[in-house]
Amino acid sequence: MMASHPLMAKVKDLQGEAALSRKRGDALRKSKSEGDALASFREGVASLDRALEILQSQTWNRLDQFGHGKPLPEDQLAIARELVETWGARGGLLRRQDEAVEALYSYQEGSHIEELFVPTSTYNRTNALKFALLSGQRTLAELWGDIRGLEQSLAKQLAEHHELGDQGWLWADLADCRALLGDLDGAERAYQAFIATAETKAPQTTLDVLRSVAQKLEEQGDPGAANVRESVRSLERRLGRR
Amino acid sequence: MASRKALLIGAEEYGAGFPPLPAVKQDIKLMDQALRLRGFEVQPVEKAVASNASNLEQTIRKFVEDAGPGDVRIVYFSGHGLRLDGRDWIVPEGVSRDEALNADAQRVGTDLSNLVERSRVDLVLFFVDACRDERDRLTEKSGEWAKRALPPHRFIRMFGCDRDNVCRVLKGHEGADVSLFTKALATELGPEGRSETIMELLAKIVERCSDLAAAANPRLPPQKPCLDLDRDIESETYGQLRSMKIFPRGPAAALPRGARFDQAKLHCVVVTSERSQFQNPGHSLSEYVKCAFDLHGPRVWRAFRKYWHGRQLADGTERSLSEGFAASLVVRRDLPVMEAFRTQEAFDDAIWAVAQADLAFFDVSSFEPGVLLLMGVRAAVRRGVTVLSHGMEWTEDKPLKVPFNLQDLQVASHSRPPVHNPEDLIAERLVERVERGFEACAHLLRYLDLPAYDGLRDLGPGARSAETIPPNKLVLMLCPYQGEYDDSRQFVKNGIRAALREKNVEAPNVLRLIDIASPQLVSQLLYQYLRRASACVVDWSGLNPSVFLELGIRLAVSPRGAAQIIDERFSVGDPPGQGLQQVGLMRERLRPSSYTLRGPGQVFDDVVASLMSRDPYADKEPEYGRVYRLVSDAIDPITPKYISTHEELQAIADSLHAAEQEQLGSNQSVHDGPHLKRDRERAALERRLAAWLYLEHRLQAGSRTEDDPLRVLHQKLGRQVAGGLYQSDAPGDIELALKIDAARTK
Repeated sequence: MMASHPLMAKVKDLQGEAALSRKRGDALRKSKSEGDALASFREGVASLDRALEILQSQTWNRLDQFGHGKPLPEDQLAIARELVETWGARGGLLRRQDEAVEALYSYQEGSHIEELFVPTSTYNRTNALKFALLSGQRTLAELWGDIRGLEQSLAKQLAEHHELGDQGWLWADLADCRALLGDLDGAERAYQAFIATAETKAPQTTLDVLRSVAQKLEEQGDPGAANVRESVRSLERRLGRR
Repeated sequence: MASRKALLIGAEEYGAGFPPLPAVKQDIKLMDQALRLRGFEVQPVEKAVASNASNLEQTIRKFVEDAGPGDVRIVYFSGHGLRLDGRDWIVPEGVSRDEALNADAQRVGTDLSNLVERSRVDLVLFFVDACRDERDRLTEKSGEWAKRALPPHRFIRMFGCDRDNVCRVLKGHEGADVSLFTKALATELGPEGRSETIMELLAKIVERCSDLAAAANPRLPPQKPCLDLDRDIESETYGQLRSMKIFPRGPAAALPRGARFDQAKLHCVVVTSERSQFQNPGHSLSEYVKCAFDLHGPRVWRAFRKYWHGRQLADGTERSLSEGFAASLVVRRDLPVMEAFRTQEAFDDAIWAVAQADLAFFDVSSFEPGVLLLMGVRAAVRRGVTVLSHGMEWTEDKPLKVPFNLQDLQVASHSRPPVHNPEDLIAERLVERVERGFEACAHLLRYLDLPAYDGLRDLGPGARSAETIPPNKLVLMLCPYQGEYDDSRQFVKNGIRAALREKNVEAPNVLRLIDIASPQLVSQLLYQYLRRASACVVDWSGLNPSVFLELGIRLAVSPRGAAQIIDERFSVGDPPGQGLQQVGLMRERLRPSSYTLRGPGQVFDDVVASLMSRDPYADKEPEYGRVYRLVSDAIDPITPKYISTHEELQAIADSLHAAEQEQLGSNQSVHDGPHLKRDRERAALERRLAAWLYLEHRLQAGSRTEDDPLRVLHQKLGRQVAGGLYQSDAPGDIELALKIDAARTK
């Protein structure tokens, strides 16, 4: 099912609707219409669930037959990419409804496909780690190895594939990993690249999540909390200065 | 000098017993175009002559008798014919069947062998598109040809059908009735045809007749054109007919003026240089382009189709191109530069061809003036794909001294590399360029591979930006800048100034571009003045390539043309004349006035008088505006429609900040300053908003059916716009977003 396929066009359409629901919800929340905002976020999730239904009914079983590192046929790869996108967007909408556990589930589903088939995408994997912390299911120490692995993979990809350097979200993921690992200088450099590359409104979302992570770690008395808090400040300073 | 002329006779209306032949009009038109294309001077016969047997016979006789040694004459007839007593006759217009059958004076014989024998002409060809049925009088006599004394190859008749048969008409073929034989003949003599000898021509016409007839009505019996040489012809004569190139391709292997541009085909022109033609015979650019199409036709077609298929033209029609490739979908014309200037018709055809071609190749080897002039015309009128290539030992890894105006062009090489199958390699490289060219055409609103196009059009807003600059304000001088020309330049400048003063211009301003005090880029300024200056003097002295490129551009964009001059010191000898035959031919076509350094200034008085009196809108088809008029006619039916308002706004928005950037989390600005980025993002949003409002209110896209592409776009764009506004902090944006959101889902 390639991009021009009618079902794929429908998936894109549903993703577009969900993105609009998210933005509408954010705007309504900002204007203190919390009830309407939540309704909009729910609408977005519903759109994405329909998209997932389409994608999974088409090929998910076949997709699962492919092992790690095996190149997917182009039509399957297109579906894998859309699954990654859809799970990630769903996680974001659930986060806005304070459904951390459901959001974590979404990101984990996306992570699984990312790891196997779309290694250049790290959005779900980074968020899965952050939401494992936010939901209180795991501690920083428990996730250390995973975070380290992701950070190394991201740094390698960005160094080897210059075209990926244009993608702001990758820099944000790298910075978040480094912040969680306590590499403040490294995080600072990555955030700098993120801010330079990204759309002007992009960093605010990252900052919101990072603040929540810092707060959660502080609540749990996690020794890594200070590093994350410092990264939040660094990002705030940088955004404020610019 | 040997001449090639054609006499075209059409007889449409007849008396009782002969049905009228409306196809004749189209027959004559097609033959006129095809024969001009093969370099024939065409002479149509007037109705008054075509309707009187005696007059017609006399006209044909005189046409043949006037020819001299080396000359070729073609007589073509479309109308009713008869075969009586074993002889073939053509019937003049207005004659009834009874008259034609019963009176010798009411028909004209087609056997010109005695006439040809008495004349000095080299060859006479008689094409007869008329019936040869003998049903009325079956008293065949034989032996007429057996008595013929002259070698048969000096007079050849070709009939549209064999004996006792009839010639048929294709009803409504491509919008008009046309005779089957003529259609096949004209097509084979046209740009698609490859026949050069009479036997090749016959074989192809038989094939084409069969295809055309089968396509029109498979049940009809075949119509088989033939030569009347099937008896008493020695094998030696057949040999001659096979080798004698009666229709050499070349003179204007270009699309004839007024010919219909077949929108379903790829039109390609290859302009080859004079030097490489002689120095590298067999390895000319046209050979490599042919090789490129032979080896990679489907690739070229795919790239071409991707850009053109479904694209609307300015007249509202849409170009529809078949998905699969066939060699017949390509109209490829070779245009050796000398031939482009050989006759006035050839020059007109060459201008027409370079202006209309979807794909053009120019052999820029040694930057010959004729090639540069044609390239200038193309540069001025087309945003199509043009590939420049240089041969004569130059390869792409070597430095190339490129004329000033062509500094930033990508030049390919068609010099033979010392490798296995060099033709394949060169063809492959040419195809890569063509693919990238069409790809960029599709991707960029303002794709360019030649200079000038945008410079001539982007003159700024307001009527005054494009206003003509009168001669009393400026006379633009295009000339070489080399030191050896300094004396001439000063002399010309002074001469024109003096002449302008004579015409009461108080402060004459005769300027080269570098004399104009402006910090603006020379290229930008040059094209602006080339278009706007009413008076332009072009000095051919030194045959400077940049000057000839500018001349081509000027002739193509100004209805006032240019006054052309040449210092005689620079017009002959080596290096100035450079031994190029094209220069002599160009002088015949464009007639520059010659002057001599410190000679009489009369020439400048004449130049100024001519420039000041030019009024292209009052003068009737003035010669000075010929190229301008030609290109105006040539590009009108083939220019793509201007991009629609919402598409243009969307394309600009996507160039500033594409919608998918959000997914990637990135920005398209070159520099990353937050103010600049925010400004570009906002500018993109505002343009998308304008595009959506246009779709909503002007095109009513929201009310169309769900699968209508405009409705789909309306939805998608509405989402992007509303989303962008929801994320904005500007007052009123969220309210606007809610409105768009609601309108979108109504």
